[in-house]
Amino acid sequence: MSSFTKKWRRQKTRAGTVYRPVIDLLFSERTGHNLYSFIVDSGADITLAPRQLAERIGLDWNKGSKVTLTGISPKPECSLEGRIHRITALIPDIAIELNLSTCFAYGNAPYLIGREGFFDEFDVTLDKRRRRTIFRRVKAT
Amino acid sequence: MRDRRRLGEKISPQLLREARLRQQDGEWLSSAKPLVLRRYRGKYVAIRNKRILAASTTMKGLYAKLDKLNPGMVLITKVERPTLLVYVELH
Repeated sequence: MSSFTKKWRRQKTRAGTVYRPVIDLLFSERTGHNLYSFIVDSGADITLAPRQLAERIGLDWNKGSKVTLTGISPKPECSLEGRIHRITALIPDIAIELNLSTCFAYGNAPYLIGREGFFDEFDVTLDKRRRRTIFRRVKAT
Repeated sequence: MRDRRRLGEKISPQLLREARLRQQDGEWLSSAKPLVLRRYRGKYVAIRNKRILAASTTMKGLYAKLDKLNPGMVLITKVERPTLLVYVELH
């Protein structure tokens, strides 16, 4: 079973300094490879990313399953359109590739990694006291 | 599973090494002074060798800048505004 540990990323907010759990994913794009930092969001059902990433990695955004994203506000003007696709990404820390259900959203979506696909493969320990995340692989390929 | 193998064949040790170098840029971002990051709040940024090479409020804008610069592999992340993050709902 392979595992790795990631330090949380520091961010100043109006409520003080917060530390957020992140993980880096490598994507194969049309013109090379880039690394993306995702916030580890155990409360998110699936992974979230901006629409442009879908196009960058060669997906036809329109062909995904259609969803509407809303936040706390119920107002229709506060909702965004998204498409769910199945994608493959690589975790450089342990050189493992994963298939993830990802919602690619219109607008300035954050990069969040949710449970579907990811939490099936890893036991994730969010160690707030030490500001680190421990990822333990639970499933062999 | 087939997709995994196909991508795996493309990932060379050199590429992994470069990705791990870019991860160090993430650590730099975490330790960067708030004054340095202030102008990037709410923006997507591309970082390489502890320098923010490009920034934009949209990914479209960031990709346009990167395509002009052609810097090789970068770390892309979003510098959040100084607010707390909450959830979104899917329908």
